[in-house]
This record gives sequence, structure tokens and C-alpha cells, in this order.
Amino acid sequence: MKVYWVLALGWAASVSAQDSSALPREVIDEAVTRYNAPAALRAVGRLTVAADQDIKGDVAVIDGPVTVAGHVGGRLTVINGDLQLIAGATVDSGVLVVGGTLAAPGGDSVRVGGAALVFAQKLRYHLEGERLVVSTETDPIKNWWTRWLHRRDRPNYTDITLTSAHTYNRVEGLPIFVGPSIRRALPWTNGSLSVDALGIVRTENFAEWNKQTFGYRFGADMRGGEDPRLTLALRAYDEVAPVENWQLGDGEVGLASFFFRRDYRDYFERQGASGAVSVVNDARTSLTLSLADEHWYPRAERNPFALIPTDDGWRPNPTLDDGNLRLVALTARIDTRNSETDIWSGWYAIANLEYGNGHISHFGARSPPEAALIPVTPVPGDVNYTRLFLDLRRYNRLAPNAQFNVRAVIAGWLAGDPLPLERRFSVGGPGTIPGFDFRSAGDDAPDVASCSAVPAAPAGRPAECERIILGQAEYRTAFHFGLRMFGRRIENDGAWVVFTDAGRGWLVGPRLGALQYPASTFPNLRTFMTDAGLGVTIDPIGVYVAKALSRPEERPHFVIRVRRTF
Amino acid sequence: MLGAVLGGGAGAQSVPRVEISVPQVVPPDPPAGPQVRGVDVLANGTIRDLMRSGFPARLHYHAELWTASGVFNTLESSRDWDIIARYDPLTKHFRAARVNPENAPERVEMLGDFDHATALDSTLADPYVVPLIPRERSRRYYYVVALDVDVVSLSDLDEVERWLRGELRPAVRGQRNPGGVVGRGIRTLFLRLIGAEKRHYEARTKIFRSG
Repeated sequence: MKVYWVLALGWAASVSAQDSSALPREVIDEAVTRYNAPAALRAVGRLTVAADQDIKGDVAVIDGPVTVAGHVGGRLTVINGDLQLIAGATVDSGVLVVGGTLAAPGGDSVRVGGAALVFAQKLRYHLEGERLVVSTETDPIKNWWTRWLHRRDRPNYTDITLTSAHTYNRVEGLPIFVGPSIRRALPWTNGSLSVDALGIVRTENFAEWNKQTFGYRFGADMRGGEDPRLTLALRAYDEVAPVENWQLGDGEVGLASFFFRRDYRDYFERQGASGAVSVVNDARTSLTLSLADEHWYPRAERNPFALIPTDDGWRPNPTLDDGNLRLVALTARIDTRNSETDIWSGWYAIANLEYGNGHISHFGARSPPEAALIPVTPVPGDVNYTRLFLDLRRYNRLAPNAQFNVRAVIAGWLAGDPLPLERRFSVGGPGTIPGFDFRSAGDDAPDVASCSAVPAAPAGRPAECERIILGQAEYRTAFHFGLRMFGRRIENDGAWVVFTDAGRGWLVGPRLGALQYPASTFPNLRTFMTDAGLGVTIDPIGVYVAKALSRPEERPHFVIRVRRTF
Repeated sequence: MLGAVLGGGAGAQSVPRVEISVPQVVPPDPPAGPQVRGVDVLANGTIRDLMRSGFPARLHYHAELWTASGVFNTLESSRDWDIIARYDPLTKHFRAARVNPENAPERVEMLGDFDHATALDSTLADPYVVPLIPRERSRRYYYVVALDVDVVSLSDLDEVERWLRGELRPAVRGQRNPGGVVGRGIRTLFLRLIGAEKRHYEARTKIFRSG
């Protein structure tokens, strides 16, 4: 028998090789039937039938190539691969090639019984178990899902990014980032290179159009490896940064500012560059070493729009220190929580050790060391310091619907000169000890919340504590409720929360009053601010009532949070 | 008030929910994992309308196996999978697929092609046996399952994801008209406002002793 060929030229010439919809229906059916036949020998990938091999029955292969030198006793079907019949090859019952080519360098020594059909168009298919199923038309779910699955892994893209800074504040209004973002895969490192060149436009300064209206953030990240993954990051920036961002979330600060003209953070401008090397394991544990050279500038508050403005206006943004600093920081993060959003068990810890060295050309005003009348401003000079921040949390599930969680925040000065204002701390208020007002331990009490000398505190009442300690504990029990409202049945899950907090801040130095202690001394526990309260959460909103215990005359405080307390 | 369940009258609409149950172990059969089903989770007028307008629905399941021994419960293992459902306006059929079953990221199991939404609901309510089997015998365990249902724009999926991450964060491909960024961002915010935001359901089993 001679080999003869049938080439589907008409289809191949007119359509893309990837378009299986151009294949004749009967060809598709035949290929699928042959592959799914119970008695067929099925293979995926490269297949070689050696000269001394004798396969009885049908053979069907997808994603070849296939090389035959021996004997196939039935039909040979190759889908989306090339077939080569070399000298001595024998196929008893015909050949069907779909999505590939057929070559027979063996010439007359090749024997094929029956028809030899070849179609260049690929067959679009998927496997359900071992069964081949054809996508005869564009399958929106699978193709869409494939795109969705891989969208995070797109190796290369070029985007224009337009984004907010996730918060709204009294210094910038709403800062907007705009600029190109590029990502390229680096196969030799099993990683990627990402570059962002973002400009910052501050809505509050937009009408004046000056230097303060704009900033920038340029960055390049190179990632490589896989568990652990190594990341190298370089940054250059001119941006407004918060002094403390660990108490409340960005969204909460923004909402409180926008709706109620209450900004719970202080800000400064920093301009400079940094580099960081990180080792990341399992995406939830990391160790980062960073170096930075920055110039810190004080920034004054503006008057951005607030929906429900208070009579007092915006709290002044404190005048912080102005100077050049070089920073070296080591940051470790460990996260063994069962989930980042539905937390029931595990550890979460962040530790940051920072060494700063530089020159302060203008110190911001600080509270006087004793009950003087006006704040004091140190003379310009060199500064170097070492500072630690540790946030340690443990989540414990007691029962299917109950958990008991604890948190400790320990932070402050370790060595060197007094901390710059940009690196100081405070407690008290909705993010830490909600039984007290923001940065206040009471009108006539030593200010163990922000370590200021009331009434001689600097404008804006900055965070002045050089050390803080905070302990939080909560018990949560979940509940499910259902009710009928406006003709609809509504069911949801929520949680009751009972909590207590304790903490304070202090300065480091020779013992002075109730605010300053030597480095090796720990304040008496009786001087701590303590509170307790209860609340109810229906994610993501939580409503709480907190009452100060250490200060009975303090009124209860009503707090709304839009994320977990910790 | 909260905690009170006020029942409806006769013919009350079924409440969307996720259910999880522990099958009885009948020796000599080996223990099987829990059965999870989503009941009427897409039987919502807003969701149906969005699906008919071209927005696929995504059902993300997360199941956990916890031990209940000792003072603190511990998480022994977990599984995640998704079901994607979409309405094809040309054929006027609903289609659904399960993806990432048994932690196989590339595996897609087609659940079917349905000419009625009720048929889709019925298939989604079929029990799915999750391969989460207790490792130890005669220990106290329980299962927890969470289901998140959201409806997303097919063509603006990346923009939606960025919005969800960063409040106001649409992104544009280099070829697109940058002026459309704000329009797409507003559209995405609209999706959230009209009820296309994520719906969350949870269920837990009672504590049981592994066989």
C-alpha cells in the first residue's frame, strides 16, 4: 500500500493555526472519539515507537511529537503535535494528524493502511480526568479563568498607575499617585523586575501650584528565588510620611479626617533615597535590612474639606525636627495566623530596630522638662540614636465560636541621643486605649499618653514619649443573627467583644516627676492608663464603648472602627 | 434585637447560606472529608441581573479543619477552591466551572451548561466533598467553611482588584486611552455601590470525634 496524503489546504490557508473552530466538525469528532476510545493507548507528550515495538490496537497522543519506527496495529492519532514515520514504520488502520505535520523520511519502506489525514489547525481542548473534551468555540469561563489565574503572574506589563495614597489628611488633602509602572520577568532568577515612577499630586495644594503641591516616588524592585525569595528594592522619594502609623489603619484615619475633621496622625516631609534587601519566606515571614539617607522637613497643616467640620478647626500639625539623617534599619516580620482577614489563631510579630545618625538644623518645639510656661527648642546639632519597635500578637481559638487574643507593643529609645520628634511615640485614643481621649491621660493628670507638659505642650500636642508600653486583651464570641427588614430576610455573622487595655509612655533621663525615668527603670504599674469596654462587630464595622478604669471621672467613650482593633 | 431570629411567613424566600456537614463513617469505608454546599448564593436579584449584564460571579470557598483538644484549638489543614459562574448572552445559558480543586491550580472542572438559573443554583447546591480528613483518630475536630461571593467585571478585572486593594486605584494598559481610567474607576465604584461587593457566608460543624 502506498501512503497518500490529504491536506486541508483550504482551511489552513484561510484561518489561524490556533483556531480550531475552522476544523471540520467531523474531523474534530473523529479525533476526540479516537482519543477517548476505551481500548486506545493514550499518551500525553513525546512518544517514540521503536523499530522492535509492536503495539496492538489504536494509539492516540496529544501534545507530541510522535516518532514511529515500529508497528501500530490499529489507528494512529496525533493531536497538536508532529508525526514522523521513519524507515520500517507500519500503521495498519490509518493516520490522523490534527494540529501538526506528517513527515515520512522512510519513503517507500513506510506502510500506512487506510487514509492518512493531516490538518494543520490546532485543536482547542481540555482534559476532564483522562477524557479529552473539545472547546469547539471560545470557552469564556475557562479562558477567562485562565486569564484570571495568571493575571497576578503576568510576566510582563506596562501600566499607567493612577491611585490614591489610601488616606486623607490635613497636610495634603488627598494625595494622588500617577505614573508608569513596568514589570519584566527575569526567568534566570525565577523572579521579576518592577519599576515605578510615580508623581504625587496633593489636592490641598493644587490651587496654589507650588513646590508643596508635588512630590515623587520612584522605585525599582528585583525579586528572585522561591521560598525563600530575595528582594532588592531601591527608592527615591519626596513625600509626606506619618510619625506613627501603627495605631489606626490608613482608611480609618482618612475617614475620620474627611468626615469629622479629626486627624489622628502627625506628618513630616521626607526627601531622600533608600535601599533594602529582604528575604521572604512563604510570603508571610520576612527579614529586611534597609539603608536610607533622608532630609526631614516640618509641614504645616492646611485646611482641606471636611464633611462635618468641628468648631475648633484642624489640630495643628506639630512643627517637627528639620535635618539630614542616615538610617539603618532591620525589620523582622513573622505571621503564622490562619488567615489575614478571618483571624482565629496564630502569631503575628513585627520588630524594627533602627539606628539614625545625622544633623538637626532646627529642632521642633518640645515640652519643657518641668512645669514651665513655654515649650523649649534645643539648639541645632548632631544626633544619633537607636530605637526599637516591637508589636507582638497572639490569637487563640478557644472554641468554634470564641477566641481570646492578646497584644503587646513595646517601643522606644535604646541608646544615644534623645529621639527626634519624628521617631517618638504616644498612646491613648481610639487605636490604643479608647477609654481615654486622643493623646490625653486627663486634664489634670501627668500626660503619660503623649508625655507633654500640659498646658505648655507645643502646638498640635505632638507625640513626645521616648518609650511606650501597651497591653491589649480581648475576648470575642461569634454569633449569627437573622431578621426581616423591609420585606427581605437578612442574615449575617457578627461578634461580641469584651476588651481591656493598659499602657503609658515616658521620657528617658534622670528621674523627674511622673514622666521621666532612668533608662533602667520601669514606671510603677499604678501610673498606667487602663480601660475596659465591650463592643459588637459586623464586619468590617465595629462599635465599642470604653470606660477608663484608672481615671473613674473620665466619661465613657464611644468608638467606631472599620477594621479589627488588632 | 441582635441574636433574635424572626421567622418569615409561609413561602418565605430561602436564605443564601453555605452549609458544611460531616459524613458518617461506615467501616470498612475510609473516612471522607466534609460535604460543602452553597445554597441559593446566586439566587439574588441583583446578582442575577449583574450576571445577565455580563459580570461573572465568583464563589471563593475556604474550608478549615480544626482540632478541639486542649485549651486552644489548632488549625490542622485547609483547602481553597473557586466556582466561576457566567451567563452567555448568545446562548442564554449559564455556565459554571470549579477551579483549583484539590490544590491543583491549573485544573478546571466544568460543572455544566444550564438553561435556567434554578438549574445553576441546584448544581451549586450539590455537595462537594472536600479532601480535608483528620490525621488522627479519636480526637475532637470541627470544620469551618467560609464562602465569599462577588460579581466582577470581565474586562476590568484588574482595575477592580486594584480598587479593592487601594480604594481608588484603577490601572490602565499602555494601549488604552488614559482618559478612560477615571470612567472605569467610577464604574467599578458603582459596582460596589449597587451590591456587587463581596458577600460573605460562614458555617461551622459541631465538634465531632474522628473515627
